[in-house]
Amino acid sequence: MNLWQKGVTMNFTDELIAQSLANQNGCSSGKISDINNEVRLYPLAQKYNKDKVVLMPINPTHSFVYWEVTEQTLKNLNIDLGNIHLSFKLFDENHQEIMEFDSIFSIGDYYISHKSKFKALYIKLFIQINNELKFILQSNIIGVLQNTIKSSSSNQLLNGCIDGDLIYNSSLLGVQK
Amino acid sequence: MIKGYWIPVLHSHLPFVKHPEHKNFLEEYWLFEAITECYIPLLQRLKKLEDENIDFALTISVTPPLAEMLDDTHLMGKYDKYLQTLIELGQKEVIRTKETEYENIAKFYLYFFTQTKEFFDGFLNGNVLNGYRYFYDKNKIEIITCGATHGFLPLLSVNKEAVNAQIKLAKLSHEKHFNKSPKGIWLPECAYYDGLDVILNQNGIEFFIMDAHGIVYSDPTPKHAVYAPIITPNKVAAFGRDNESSKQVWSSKDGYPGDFCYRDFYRDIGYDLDFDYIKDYINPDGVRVFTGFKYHKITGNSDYKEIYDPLHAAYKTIEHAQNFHFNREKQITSISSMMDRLPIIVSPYDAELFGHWWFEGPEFLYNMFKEIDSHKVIKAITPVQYLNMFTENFVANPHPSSWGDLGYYDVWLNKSNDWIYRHLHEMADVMVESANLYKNNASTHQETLLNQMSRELLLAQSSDWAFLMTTATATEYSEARTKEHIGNFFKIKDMLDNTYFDEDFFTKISEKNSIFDFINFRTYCSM
Repeated sequence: MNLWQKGVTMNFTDELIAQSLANQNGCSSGKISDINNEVRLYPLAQKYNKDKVVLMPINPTHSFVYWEVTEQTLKNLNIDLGNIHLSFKLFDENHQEIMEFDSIFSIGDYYISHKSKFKALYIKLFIQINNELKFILQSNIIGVLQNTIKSSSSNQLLNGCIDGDLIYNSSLLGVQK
Repeated sequence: MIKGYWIPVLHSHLPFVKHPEHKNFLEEYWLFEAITECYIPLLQRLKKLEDENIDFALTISVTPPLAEMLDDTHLMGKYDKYLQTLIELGQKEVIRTKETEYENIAKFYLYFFTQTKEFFDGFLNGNVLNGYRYFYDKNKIEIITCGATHGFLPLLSVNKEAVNAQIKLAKLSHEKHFNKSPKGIWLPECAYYDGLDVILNQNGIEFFIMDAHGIVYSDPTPKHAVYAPIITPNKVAAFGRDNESSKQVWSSKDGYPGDFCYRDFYRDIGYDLDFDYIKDYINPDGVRVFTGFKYHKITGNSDYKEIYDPLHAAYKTIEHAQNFHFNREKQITSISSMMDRLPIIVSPYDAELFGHWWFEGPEFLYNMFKEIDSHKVIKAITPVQYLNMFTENFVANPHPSSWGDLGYYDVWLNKSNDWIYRHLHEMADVMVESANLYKNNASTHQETLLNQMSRELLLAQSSDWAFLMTTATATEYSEARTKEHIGNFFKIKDMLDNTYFDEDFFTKISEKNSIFDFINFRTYCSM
């Protein structure tokens, strides 16, 4: 007989979570370690003549940003193409600046490492003109992927539960031994 | 007495690959192999269960690209020839192996492919979808949809119209092929992001499947973890994968498919036999490929392989089904003691695992349903049946996640494939702008161009290309496909903007990238 049928009120959520996460193998797909290092074999034109900063989440501690600042924008600001200094500031949900990075390229991308404690992130793009930063545009806002159990005392259950033991490749798309 | 429920889910998907410009095209064989080794064997087992009056319930996603390919006259014509060729090779093999130790296994393959053709021509009437429809209409299986082209929705979501189109067109495709609206969806790669449930709800979707951590990390923490679904704030149910039952099948170390008596995947006469003998049955350019004639069992961990015995392997599936059933009963008994309702065990797998990687997988499923039917302590059900029984469920925000390696978006966004997103996002933005601009005043010609632009965008968005770039399998093809669709999209846009028409180009891509004949570019109008 189940405990609930006996009228016993207990919270078994932690136990159920522990069972849910046991044997966590996390995937059906290829392994990250298999990533092909020969990237961008076929470079494409990456210029769409639109000012843009796009932020994308990858996992709880990494995000990816790509950007384009158009020649027209640079021209309007009297900035020489060979002398660009972009500044990117990352903000959290409370509009607190978390980190900053720079680039000398009007078109580019960057992998950002950050903590998972934030709820949301966004980027503001500035351009340096005469040692001053001029705001250009802001990215979309992303939710941070937080790998925590929200209302349980059993966060320690998460450590080491993904064992990476697998895997049959997920489909017919090629063969992996 | 029923102690709990088992929800088996098979995700059937292949990217849309159609090359009418080639008589033989290697990547089209993905589909032909899947039909022969996975879809038909599964449908044959379901028919057998029905004939034997054995109860079963199975949830199967048939993704829109797969449904479109299974319904494509050109591809099915090629498939018919593919089967005939296999039977011809089978006949040759029976002669070649006569009075050798391979004679029986050669006869087995001739029988296997002949039976496949008979089932395809007979019960399926030349269309695999007929088999799915047959059991769907009888409520023996629940067919669910997927993203229109299996787009990885969290990474497309910077443009919400792009995500909406993936869902809306998936729904329309389902209605076209199955004559009813889908109640559930297999989110491509089980990938969820905050707010996706709004779009799912707007499109009438009642449930989706997540990996375990997508449920366990939900906010607030679900009382029953993965052993009961949660309901999102926008009233869509989310079912979580059970890791234990997944591991028994998925694990290459401990999983059933690795049993030494099962068929070895890698040894194939396409590689083993003399070139002159096999050349007519491999790639016309001379590249050796799998033929499907695999004569050896796994045998052990070395290269030494013994001859495969299909009958012995079939008996082994009974043993494994009994083991699986025993473990589920034990698991359910343990979980039940901690729950105030009967638990569910959700076991999602790639459908292509059953039959392709694990040749005996369909027979295992057949035996598993027989076990369930004979013991009657676990009941196989579908998510819809569960939701009809349990109308009150825990409300929580699902945790953004995927079922990919490491559990998040890494597989689909990393240094091997990050370059695609700049283009995919720009294409989506341009598509929305164009749809808004032409929604009320497009000529028939412009409408044709805009509809093909939509197709090119959708095909470029397929998560398969990013996945294959990550795993470095079929990388060249994946990159070429991505580039092709990006190029086609902007060329059509240029034709639209500058009022010219490259008829030869447009005819070719329309024939090749012909997915979704019902498409209407207005799907992309601003929400």
